[in-house]
Amino acid sequence: MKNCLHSCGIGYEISTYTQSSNLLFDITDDHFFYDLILIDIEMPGITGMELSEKIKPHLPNVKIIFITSHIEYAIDAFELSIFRYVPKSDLTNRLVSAVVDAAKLIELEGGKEYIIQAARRMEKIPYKDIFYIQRDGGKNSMICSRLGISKVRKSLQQIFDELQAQEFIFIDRGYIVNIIQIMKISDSMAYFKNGETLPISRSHLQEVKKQINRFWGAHI
Amino acid sequence: MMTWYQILSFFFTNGLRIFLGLYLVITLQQLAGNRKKASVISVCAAAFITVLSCFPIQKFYLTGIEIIFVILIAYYLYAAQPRMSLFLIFFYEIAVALWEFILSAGLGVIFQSDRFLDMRSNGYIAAVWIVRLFMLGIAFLTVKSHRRNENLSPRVIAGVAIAGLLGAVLLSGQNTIPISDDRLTTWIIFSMLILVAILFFNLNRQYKMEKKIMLLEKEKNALLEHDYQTLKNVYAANAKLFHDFQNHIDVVYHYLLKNHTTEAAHYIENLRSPIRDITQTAWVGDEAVDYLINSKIALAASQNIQVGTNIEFPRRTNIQSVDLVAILGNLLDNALEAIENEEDRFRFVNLTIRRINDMLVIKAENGCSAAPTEMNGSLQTSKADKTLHGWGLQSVRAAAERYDGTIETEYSDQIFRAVVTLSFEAVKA
Repeated sequence: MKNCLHSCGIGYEISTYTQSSNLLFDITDDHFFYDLILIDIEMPGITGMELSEKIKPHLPNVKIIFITSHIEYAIDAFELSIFRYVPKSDLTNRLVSAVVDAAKLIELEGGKEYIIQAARRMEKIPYKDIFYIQRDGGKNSMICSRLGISKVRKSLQQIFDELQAQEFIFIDRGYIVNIIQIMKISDSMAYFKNGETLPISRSHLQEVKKQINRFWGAHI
Repeated sequence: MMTWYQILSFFFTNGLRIFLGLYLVITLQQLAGNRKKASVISVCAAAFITVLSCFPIQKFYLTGIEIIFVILIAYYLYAAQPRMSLFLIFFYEIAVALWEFILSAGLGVIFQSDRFLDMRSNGYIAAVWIVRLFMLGIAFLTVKSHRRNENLSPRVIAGVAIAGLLGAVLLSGQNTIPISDDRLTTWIIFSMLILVAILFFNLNRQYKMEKKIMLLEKEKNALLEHDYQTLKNVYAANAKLFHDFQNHIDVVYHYLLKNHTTEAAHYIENLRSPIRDITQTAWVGDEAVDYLINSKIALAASQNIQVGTNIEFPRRTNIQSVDLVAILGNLLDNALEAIENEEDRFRFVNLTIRRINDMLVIKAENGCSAAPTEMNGSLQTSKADKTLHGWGLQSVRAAAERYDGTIETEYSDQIFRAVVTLSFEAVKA
């Protein structure tokens, strides 16, 4: 796994735990941060499933890979919090590709931040936390992110030019959205991870689908 | 002689009529083209018609010239079929003229004066403007409903046509202003003709759609039959294996009795290959799809093609295996066919299936030494028999569109890449 991350040019730091409770306390009490956690589902005491449920509220963006001895390793479609199952029977092949896929996705979400500079305040919003940006009157905009709603005294086009990131696209004249936050497209609506939906204008629909297709096609 | 404001009014009413007619022709035929140019040219056409109408020329000829204008604009700027454009614009002009007549006569009845029927009178101009305002209103509603992705136009068009017939019939029952019977009968017949035309247009559109669906179904069936045939072959091999089992056991038994272990091992080694072909790897957990992927991988191996897979597939989605077979079958067939005659370093196919949120992303890549040829933005087949080709990607597209998805193809760095995205819904067990 280390070799593989090396060859992909991905930086990493690995911590290992033998007790699931230690990991849990580090995260809940000492606010340790992890991008990716590998858990054996079948553990003594707390199960992998229960552990991940407890970690999620503290690390909402964490990717969890389960390692299991079951042959049935497909994830249920409505199970969103798990990145992937890896069967122990095919650990060498599948674990490497699962970790590399997760690392690529983490890198894609990246560390870029959008900085709002106003007279008396400065706000930093990580790109990955932005759901969408909405036009708010002629020259103002609102950024809807995991941190809440932030107002910006700039036009949507200005913000779009400043973002300089391919995951942001227009779905309407009044909305820029973050492709990474889109759960799916259905009936001309974009569904977001926070449960909100936004309509996609007819003139943008085909192009939006194409852009999503191109984006994920290039990043998986 | 016409006064200046009449000429001005004529210019605007003509302009609106031509512009909206053009809009109708291009929207109903679902065409895309240069809208700005079309608007400018339709203004010029309106000016030309207005100038002509200052001369004593019959209205009939003016309408004819206008129809020709619209057909030419639609043909050159939107590549519209002239026949269809003629059909649409002809009945559009009749409907507009019918309504101008009904409204002017109606106003005449209300104000008890036959001045309204004189085409040069202010009353007639008022009637024409009312019609234009209605037309603008309908156009506005249509544009708005399009934005909301609804299709308003068929219902509105049918409603207007039926109202036109009713109006013409009502006018024939009044005695307030003198209108000749001939004229009334002509208009009633015209309004019936419009209804028939609408019916014909809708039937024709439905027929075309059904034809397209039929072709896609045919393609899908051909694919399924092909896969079924391969499946049958595998089962036949399986049956043969079991049939011969007794004999094989005997042979191995005798080898072992005589201590010929190397021969026995060799014999078993030979036996293993058909068994290996039959054993399946589970890729996505759906039998049909797993079988398809396995058979394509086996085919690739037999042609000395490297296959890389990174497949992750969620359970319990609303994605039908038929659609998945159509997509994967076509993508893999295309990839394998494309590298048939390539040299070794291009002989690879990579299949990636990933679940991203509630979307499934399917990517098929293959080596490709030369860029595929493109025509009108879509890729052209390089195969000699072009008749049946092109339908494969069409059926992938149709399957993808059932899940609000799409397909994109791309060629870069000597790799050909096809990516399909599907949006799925989780299905509770």
